[in-house]
Amino acid sequence: MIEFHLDGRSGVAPYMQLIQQVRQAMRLGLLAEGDQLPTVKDVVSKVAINPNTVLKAYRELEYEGLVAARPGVGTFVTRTLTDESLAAHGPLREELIAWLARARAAGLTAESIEALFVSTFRARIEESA
Amino acid sequence: MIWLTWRQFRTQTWITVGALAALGVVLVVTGPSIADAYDAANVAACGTDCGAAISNFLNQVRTGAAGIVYQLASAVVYVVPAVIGVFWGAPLIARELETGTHRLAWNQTVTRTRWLATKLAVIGAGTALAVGLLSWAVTSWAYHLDDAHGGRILPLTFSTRGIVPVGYALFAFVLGVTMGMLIRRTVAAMAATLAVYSLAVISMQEWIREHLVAASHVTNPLDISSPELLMIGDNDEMTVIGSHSLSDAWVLSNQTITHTGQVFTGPADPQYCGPEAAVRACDQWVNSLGLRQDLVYHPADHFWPLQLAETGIFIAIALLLAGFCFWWTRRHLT
Amino acid sequence: MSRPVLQAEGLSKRYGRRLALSDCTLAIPAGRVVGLVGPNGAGKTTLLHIAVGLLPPTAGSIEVLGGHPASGAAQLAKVGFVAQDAPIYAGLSVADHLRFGAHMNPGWDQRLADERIGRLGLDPSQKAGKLSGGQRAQLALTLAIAKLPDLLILDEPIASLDPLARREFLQGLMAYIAEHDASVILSSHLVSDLERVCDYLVVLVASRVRVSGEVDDLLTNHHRLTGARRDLANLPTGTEVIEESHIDRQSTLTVRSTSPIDDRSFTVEQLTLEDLVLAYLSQQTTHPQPVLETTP
Repeated sequence: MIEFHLDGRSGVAPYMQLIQQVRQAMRLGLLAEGDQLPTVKDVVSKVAINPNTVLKAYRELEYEGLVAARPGVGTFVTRTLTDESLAAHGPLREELIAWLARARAAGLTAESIEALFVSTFRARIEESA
Repeated sequence: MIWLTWRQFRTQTWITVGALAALGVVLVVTGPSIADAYDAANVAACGTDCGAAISNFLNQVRTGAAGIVYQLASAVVYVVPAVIGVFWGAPLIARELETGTHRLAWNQTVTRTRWLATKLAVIGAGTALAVGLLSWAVTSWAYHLDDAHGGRILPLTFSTRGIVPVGYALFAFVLGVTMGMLIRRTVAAMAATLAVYSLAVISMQEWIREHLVAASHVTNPLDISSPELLMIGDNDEMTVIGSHSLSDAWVLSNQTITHTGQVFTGPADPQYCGPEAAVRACDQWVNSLGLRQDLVYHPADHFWPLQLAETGIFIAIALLLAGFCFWWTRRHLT
Repeated sequence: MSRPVLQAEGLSKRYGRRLALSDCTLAIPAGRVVGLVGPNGAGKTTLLHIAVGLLPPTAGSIEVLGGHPASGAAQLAKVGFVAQDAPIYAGLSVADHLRFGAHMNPGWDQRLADERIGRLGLDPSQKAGKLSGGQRAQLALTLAIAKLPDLLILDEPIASLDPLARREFLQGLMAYIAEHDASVILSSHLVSDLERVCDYLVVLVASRVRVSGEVDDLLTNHHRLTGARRDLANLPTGTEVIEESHIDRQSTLTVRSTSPIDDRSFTVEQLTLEDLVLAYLSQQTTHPQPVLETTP
């Protein structure tokens, strides 16, 4: 099961954030094919948002073919977004943790680390595109 | 709605039941001593000259607890309607308006009219029952004592006997509800209720009651053998008031009039009434003047007609106020 | 297209010389969580009291769920109401309040009420006067909910609650409407309270409705334009200025337009709901006329 959280200041619409979090969870293997998404009631009981927002997000995910709603039962994941690269996630995560430790030790603040990572990431992605 | 009214009124109900029960016990315990004293003084068989028997009876009663209970019971019956108006009537609606709970109640599936009607009916019925019981108990208990003290028709006693207390209580209750509804603040409503109620009751006692039933009017030859009052003021002005044999009556006016119908004011004849005159000379001189005694009074058998009239008036006012409350609640209350 | 849950035409309420509501026209669709936003004294409580039948209007008409607000028991059963400060009977216990609800409402769902009280951790035998502010609000909401109304009207329900109590209240409210098909109208003087939950907005300022509409539509149609200082007559047609501010050589405008803004001399930005409401609040001093609502 996935647990949602909303960032009110991100500028991203709430329903979009939900969609992104589902996709993210699917990519990380936290949600696999056949897993059930939380019911609308469960979501709004924890995150006080309009149920229509959740419905909209689930509908969009269904339209994208990622989930399917079974009436009377719930909404279930129908695809996997992970690929063979999932296996590589583990070691890559370890390396990232080590790199972060080194950055911290070098005296970088959290903002500097984020800025360094994001600028490098963007530059590399654009290069390889 | 009946459940809610009862639930909100639960504490007051138990207090009332407790108080009535306590008073009941006191009356039951002291009742026999009155009956005993009554029999011992042989008041029942005293015929026309009862003065001595009654005196004995009263003295006997005063030596026991019953004497105090007599005063206490009358005081309680006198005060209870005002207490009901102030503590049951005034907060009934005012407290809801103050705390805003009327907005809670009026959103439940019950109309304003039913809300008010249930409150008025349930607590009104409780009031009538409680005060009715109280008054019946005290009236029965005090029967002989009232007679001995000059009759139940006398003003203060009248207000605490028979059905009049029920009329007072219902009036006080509905008055309290009305004040609470108009003023919307509990404490202010309680004060206003007390003020208006007192004014109404005192007005009735002092000025209105005597006119509710036509008083009896009798003119007798004045018998001055034992005057109630014989007074000589400045300029030889006289005031003469004779005694009368009306027992158990409520005398409204006792005047001494001349044959022309005017009140007798003298002047006093110094030969008979001056400082040099003999001891009974003034009395005998007044007797010889052919004066008459003019009495306006309510005899004892006017007791129930007056009770019905007065109770009827207060209940009518209570109903009018209740009607006003319904109208105001529907149209003006928010 | 289902019938509107609240429909008002020219609704006005006058107290002596003071006009609490002027000429309000609304058509609120069903199934929404509606935020009624405005400063204190704007007329929100007056509008809500008229909608639940506590007050008669002075002029105009109003229909709630197709019926007249004060029309009797059937109408009262359809609308659940929690007044400002959540009044409850201080001397009655929590369980007594539920019994009160059960006695007074034919459509009462005791199981739902018990379940909510249980989940909230309220002690049924506790006197309601001893509850905290958040607990009182939850009790009052339970009473309004358990009669299974089609419309819930809540007057500033979270204004005096601490942040945790606010969150819990909204969680409970959203959980209810997720399961039952109900509409909600909530008022507040802070739009930040309502941003997360509302999908329909009504802005009431100084007794008038300034704007009303679906939140998504409002956010699409309103923009902030920043650019060189200029005469406002040169704006594209169909653009209405809600708020303007000019400093030195720069103009900042909050506008509403139904067509996209092509004018390159402006920087066009999205607004947050709070920005939008603030713009309409400032409008009261410059443009006292009401704005038309968006299409429902």
